Parts: sequence; structure tokens; C-alpha cells
Amino acid sequence: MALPLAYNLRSLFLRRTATLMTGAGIACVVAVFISVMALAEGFRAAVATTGRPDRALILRDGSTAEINSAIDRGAWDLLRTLPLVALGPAGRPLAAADMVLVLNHGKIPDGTPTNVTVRGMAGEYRALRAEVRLVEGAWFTPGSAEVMVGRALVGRLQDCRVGGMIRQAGRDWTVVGVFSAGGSAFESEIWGAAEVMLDAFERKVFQSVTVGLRVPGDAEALAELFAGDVRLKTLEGTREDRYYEAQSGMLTGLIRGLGVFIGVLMAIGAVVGAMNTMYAAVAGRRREIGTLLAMGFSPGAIFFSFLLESLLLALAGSLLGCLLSLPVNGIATGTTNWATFSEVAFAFKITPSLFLTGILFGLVMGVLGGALPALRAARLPAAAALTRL
Amino acid sequence: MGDVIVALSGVDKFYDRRGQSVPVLEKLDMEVERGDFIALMGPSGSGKTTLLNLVGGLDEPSAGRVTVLGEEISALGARALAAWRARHIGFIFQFYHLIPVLTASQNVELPLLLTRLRRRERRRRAALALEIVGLADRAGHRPGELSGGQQQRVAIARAVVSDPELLLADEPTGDLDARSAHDILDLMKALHAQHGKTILMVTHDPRAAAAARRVLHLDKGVLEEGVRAP
Amino acid sequence: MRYLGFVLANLRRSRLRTALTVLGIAVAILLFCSLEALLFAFRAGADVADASRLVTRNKVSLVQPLPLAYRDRIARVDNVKDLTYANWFGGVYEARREEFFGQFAVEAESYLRIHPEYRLGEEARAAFLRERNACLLGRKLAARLGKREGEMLVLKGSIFSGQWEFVVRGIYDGAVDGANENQMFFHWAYLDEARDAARKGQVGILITQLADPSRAAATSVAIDAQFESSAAATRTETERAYRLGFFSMYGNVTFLLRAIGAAVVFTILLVGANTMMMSARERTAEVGTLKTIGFPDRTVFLLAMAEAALISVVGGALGCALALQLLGGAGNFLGGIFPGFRVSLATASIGMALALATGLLSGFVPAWSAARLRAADALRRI
Repeated sequence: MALPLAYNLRSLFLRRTATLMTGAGIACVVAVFISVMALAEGFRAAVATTGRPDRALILRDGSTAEINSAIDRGAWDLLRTLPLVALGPAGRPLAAADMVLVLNHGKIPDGTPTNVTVRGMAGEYRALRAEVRLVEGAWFTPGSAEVMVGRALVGRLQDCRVGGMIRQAGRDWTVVGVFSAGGSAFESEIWGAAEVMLDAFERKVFQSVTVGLRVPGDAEALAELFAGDVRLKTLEGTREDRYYEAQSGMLTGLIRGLGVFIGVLMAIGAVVGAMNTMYAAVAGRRREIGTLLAMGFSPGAIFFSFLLESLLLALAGSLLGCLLSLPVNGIATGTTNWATFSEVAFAFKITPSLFLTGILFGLVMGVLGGALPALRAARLPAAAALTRL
Repeated sequence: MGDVIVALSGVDKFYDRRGQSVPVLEKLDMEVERGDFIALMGPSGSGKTTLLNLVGGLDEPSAGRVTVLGEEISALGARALAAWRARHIGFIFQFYHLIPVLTASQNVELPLLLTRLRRRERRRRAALALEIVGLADRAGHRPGELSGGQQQRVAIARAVVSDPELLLADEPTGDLDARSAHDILDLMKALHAQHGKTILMVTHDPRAAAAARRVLHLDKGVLEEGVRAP
Repeated sequence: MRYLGFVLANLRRSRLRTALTVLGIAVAILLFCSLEALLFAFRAGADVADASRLVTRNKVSLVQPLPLAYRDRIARVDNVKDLTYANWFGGVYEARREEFFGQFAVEAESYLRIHPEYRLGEEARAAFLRERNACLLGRKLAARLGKREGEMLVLKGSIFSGQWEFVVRGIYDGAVDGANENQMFFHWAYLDEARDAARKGQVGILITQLADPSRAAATSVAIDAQFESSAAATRTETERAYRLGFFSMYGNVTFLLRAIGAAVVFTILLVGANTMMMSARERTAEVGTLKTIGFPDRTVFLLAMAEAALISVVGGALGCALALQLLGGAGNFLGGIFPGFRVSLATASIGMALALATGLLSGFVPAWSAARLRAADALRRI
């Protein structure tokens, strides 16, 4: 025989205040946990989604980031002719060479300087980066001092709006467009023409070359290809999405680690609260339990009943916690990507799987908080029914 | 005997139950003389406990005056009332109301914490009170380790430790078996006869009534002298 | 404290409940101290920054280099007493890829002179200065990498490609609290000679020591004025401002950590208040008894508050002790990224105060109800 659910629900209701407070405690823990994980997830989503599995990013061998890399014109010419490079709609190789630079520019509202990535592009960049869409204005004209800015920079960085004028390296760069790129880190960059920028910043080499792969599966063979060809020995190619995934790894891992650390410690507090509540519940219902046992309910049924009560409490708390964390979703923030040394704008991102994790976390708290008291309840002798309180 | 130490005149007591005013006592007059031992009896709900609470300053009348030991307690503020009660009244309850985490001796010592007495003196007086009730050998036991009768005796020791003039008892034998009840009543008689305590006792128990000197009946707010057939 | 016995006895009523509550509060305070320590670490570099030093870098970006030749012109600026320069190397120690630490190519003699906070033995200093490919490790770093003097250290360059070999010739200690012992220094000349012609003679930053620190702002402007119209314009600021710049790169971390801290405190409040209220509810009859005996309302109130205060103080002390023990000295596991991560006495004190405050707050409502309870009602309730 199992005890009816209504019994547990009614008991929780009768001890409303304690139930509420314990549930609120669990809700707090779940909300904080989900929020911190959402921060990590937002960052990861912004950076990791920058790359595509059908593109390869080529850097100098040993460089951990574009800004550390150098690829000269000879290599650029060579790379374009590789058989694994797909052909664009105009019949030209789907490849782009980028000059990548980190600039210091003022933030809105007070001009505090921050680092922003500037990318000068050459080659078939428009066809290659097909996910890029214009939000406003137009693409920059090759050969001119026009630039376009990612939409994440609008409102965050000074002068980043259509018609704005960015003054750097002794020149005025006119902003002619705002672009979107699927929410990725590209949206925190300023793009312009490579030739003009190379000249303005006194550079002679590109930092990276990105190519579209004719056969996406070729990504696996990249390492071999580059090692095997003597002309490509100084270079290294990675599947673009894996490159960005790795890049986001450290900071994402750090934030997640922080989230777990905070979550576990807070959970101990909540579990303590739950245990106190459940122990008090057991103590207060000794006569009831004794009576149930005398009626013929097994100790196992009593155990499960109390455990279930604790789980119900935890479930309610977890759901409340999920609700409390919702407002955090989409809050825009930014941080510096250590790999590229420039600021990346991103937003807190709550996913369904995060909710699930939060609820599971809450249920674990419920189990931990309710197990020992439930055990005590199950161990009460039936004579407890006859005991005077 | 002689002087009146408790006087209720024209006392009304109403309770508010969901907006309705329920009268419990109406225009009640009562007098208790020093050294008296009164049993207050009556059916359930007749207001006996209310009356006791009024005399002990635990409750205030809706109208009328309550004067105890020369003090019009119905006019005292809460703080003064508490201090007054500590000095002059000892309470004994049906369910003892001992503090379970304290030992017998610590329970008895409780009222003395309100005085200026130093620890040694407090312990001495508590020991003395326990001796009077015959439980000196159980001083270190917690209430959970004592029988009902023993707990009630500790409660009585607590009630007398600060040497109050007036003892108020609410069904002191209500929860005890015949033997223990008998012991308690003997104790109370001794307190009355040998220690000169004035006792007002609410009870259902005819044996308890028999231990008292006077019996009062309270029914539907009316106080009558004498014993009814049980 | 005549009532102490009574309060303690009440806490012993349910040892388990008291213990659990103390544990809950202790853990929450531990967490709070950790968060504060994290914030402290973020700022640590800035707080230790020497007030008499300026950092000059390329105005466009930290990633852009400056010509070494700037050295002479800066040295001639008024108020500049001494000068050194450094390059961020940014390599990877492959044997321990996950250990992140700063690697700097520096002008050794002047760098050590200008940074007295890195303490080095005479012999080690001489050995370091003597050898071309010698390097210095901070003590914490040496421990983490498991390197001793005389051993080889190989880094894989990422900005400067190739395999770079060094010999550990000295292990330095931080002479002041918070000095970074997680860094590696080697000779700038060693870096420069291996570079291709196009990139020789370049430095990342120049550090100047001022004769008169109070004129730091004016001197910064004077230095930048030298190079305004040059190919590589400069940006000079105090070392503190330079380090704070790194802190602000993390975004609004302060707000985030403080918000979490607040949530933690709120949870303690709930746990504490819940316990107090449960206990209070179970003791209604006792409150009635005390009042019957003649305990004034105020005493009843204070007794309840004392109980709450005692639990939270013990919990807070336990939490602070744990924090100091676990995180006080060892910033090690986070030391590479956050040098200076530690729980200071100041943080612990704040934690204690917080514990007490929340204890008093959470105990207030039950204590107040107990004070206002009328004896007659209390006794009637059983």
C-alpha cells in the first residue's frame, strides 16, 4: 500500500510558512545557478558559433590566435589555388584573406577605452561569409576608407553607427553599414577593405586566410595536407568552428566552474534548510506516523512518502527558481576574449537544457534534504502512536 | 486569616469570536481572604480558567476592577504586571509546563533569575524548594526522566521558590493518577497549613475539592458558595 | 550573563537542528568570503601597483609594438629617473598546457632595479644576468610547474613562433603582499636576436620610474607629447591605471559577483529565519510559562535574539575559519589567472559581521512574536 499523494500535499500546505521558506531557499539556489550558467552559455554561443564546419581557418603554425599569426601574399596566392577550396557563385575560389588588428577605442557613454577587433578583408569575403546580413546601410567599398560595424557595437562603442566617423591611424574611417552575423563574435568587429588598412596601419602581411571547403569532410584531412605539402609547412589549418570552440573554451570553462562552485555551496545551505524542515515535519507527525504504521502501512511506504514530500517541495522550489532566472535571459553584456584580446559582446542565454539541469539540481537537493528525515520517519516504532507528545 | 487579599468587583469579560462578543463573566464579584484555600469548580467553559487568569494578572477584565494584595492590577502596565507577578504569584498548571531542556533544579531556579540574587543563593533556594516537595534527590533530572507526579511537584517547587503569597492552580491533579493526585493534594494542604500560602485552585476533581477549605461554583457567570452533588 | 545557561540549553534542545543551521550559515559565509576574495584578486594587481611608475604603450593597441629607440627620448623627459622595457611573450608550456602564466622578455638589469618587489638572491641575480637564455620564475609558478634552479624550461612560442629554450637561473619571491609570483622573466636580447629583421628592435611597453611621483600626470603627458606625430604614437599612464584597465576588461564582474553575494546572503536569511520560526512555534507554551512566572516581554525578546545571534555567530566564525584555512594562503589553483586570490582578514571580518546581522534579522520576527504573545493565549494553545 502506498500513501496517497494528497496526504503529502496537505501536509506541505499545513506547514505553509516552513514549506514556503524552504522552497524559496531552493529557488534562490537554482536561480543563481541557472543565471551563472546562462552567462557561460551566452559567451560560448557568441564565440563558438562564429565558425562554420564547412570553412577552414588558416594561420601561421603555432599561433594560438589570429593576431599572433602572419601570412604573406605568396601564401595567400597559393592557398587560393588549393583543390580543396570550393568555388564561389562567380566561379572564383571561395577564400578570403584577413588583416586582423586590435584597436583601442572609446566606449559609450564616457569614452573609457576598450579593445575592438578590426578586420581588413580581401578576396571573396562576401560569398564566403554568407551568414552576414546587412542590418542597415551598405557594405564598404573595396579600396576606400569605408568600414562597416557589427550590430553589437552600435550603442556600445563611440562612432559606431551609419554616418559615424572613426579616427584611427591618422585617418578618418566612415561607417557606411551595420551588419549581423548570426549572433556570433563577428558582430563585435569592425570590417573594412584589407588593402587600405594594411597601408594605414603599416602592415605587410595578412593574419589569416579563411576558405570554404569544397567537401566539408575534407576538414579532417587538413592537418595531413598542411604537413605533407612543403610549401604549406609554415601554416596550419583548422576547421573554423572547432577553432572558435576552442577559443571560447577557457573562459566558458572558468565561468561554468564558478557556477558549479557557487551552486554547490549554496545548495548545502538549502539542503540544510530542507533537512531542518523535514525533521521538524517528522517530529511533529510522530503520532500520525505511528498510527499509519499501526494501520498496516509498511515502513518503506512511510519512507517513500516523506521522500516524495521533500521532492515535491524541491520541485516547486526549482520551478520557481527557473521562473526567477528568466528575466536574466537576453541581458546584454560584454567581456574580453583573452585569445583575441578584444571585447566580445554577448547576452545571457538560457536554454531548455539549462532549465532541465536546474530542475535536476533542485531535485537532488530535495533528495539530500529529505532522505535522512524520511529514514527516521520510517524507523519510528508503531508505539509512537501511543506516546504522549 | 482576616484581611481580603483578592477582590474582584463588577468584573466583565468578553471574548471576540469572529466579530461576535461572547460574554464569559458578567458583573462578577469575588473575595479571597489571606490564608484561604479555595476550590473553584464548575462545568467546562464556565470561565474558571479565565477567572484564574484575571486574578493572576495574565488577562485583563473588559470592565470592572481586580485588586490583589492591595494592588489594582487591572490598571497596571504589562511591564509592571510581570514584575508584580514574579514577586507575588505562583502558578501551577495541569500539564506542568516545565521547560524540557532544563533540569529540575534549573526549572525551579527560573523565577529567581528575575531577582537580584547571586547564583549561590539562587541554587540554595531552589534546593530548598525541591526539598519541601520531597524531590531533592531528583534535582539533576530532566522532566522527560520524571513521572507525571514528580513533574508536578517540580512545578510546585518552582511556584513557591520565590515565596509568593498567593498560589493559583489550574487543574493540578487533572493529568495524574489517583496515587500521585493524592500526594499533590497533601503537598498543597501542607503549603497552606504550614507555610501560610493562600491558594485558589480550579478543579473538576471532587477529591481536590475535598482538600480545600472553601468551595466556590461558577456556572454561567454566577458564583455560588457550597458543594453540589458530583 | 545569568541567562546564558538557559540560552545554551535551548540550543541543545535539538543538537541536530542547531548543527545543521550552523553548517548552513558557515557554508554561506564561506561562499561569501570566496566571492569577495575573487573581487579582491581582480583588483589586486592594481592595488599593489607602484605609485611612482608609469607604463608607456602603443596608443593604437597594446598588441602593437613600440620602437626601442623611443627609450632615449623618454629618458630625457623631465622627472624620469629610471627606465626599463618589456615584451609580452605569450608562449605555451606544453608539458602543462593548462597552466597559464605571464612570460615577459625584459631588459633584465633595469627591470629588476625598477621592480624592487621581486626579491632575488645575489647569486641567482648574477647567474641570471650572466646567461643569455637564463630565466627567472616566481616562487608560486616554480612550485606549480615543478621547476628548480638549473633546470630547463621549453616554451612553444605562439606570437614568436618556434621552440624557445630557457634555463631557470633564479626563483624570486614577492617582497610585498600581493606581488605577483606567477610570472616568468627572461632576456629581451635573447628574444630580439632570434627575430627576423623586420621585427627587430621592438618592445611591447616601456616602464619609467619617476623621481617625483606627485607629478605623474604631467610627466605622462610630457612623454606622449614626444611621440604625437611619430609613426607609433604612445599612451602613457600610471601603472595602477594600466592594471585597472585589465580589470575592466572582464566586464561588469563586480556587479555580477556582488549580485550573487546578495543572493547568498538572502538564502542564509531564509535558512536562519526558517529555523528560528520553527523553533519558536514549538515553544509557544514555554514562552507562556516564562511570562506567567513573570518574565517581562523585553527579556523574552532578548533571550530569543540571543539564541539567534549565538547560532549565527558560531556559524559565521566557522565559515570564516574555513575560508581562511582553505583559501587564505593557497591562491594556487587559481593563481595563474588570479594572482592575489586570497581571503584577507578584512574579508573575514565582513563575513562575521554579515553573519551576525543576518542572524539578528532572521531571529527578529520570531523574537518579536514571542515578546508580544500573551501568556494566557500561549498556554491555551496546547
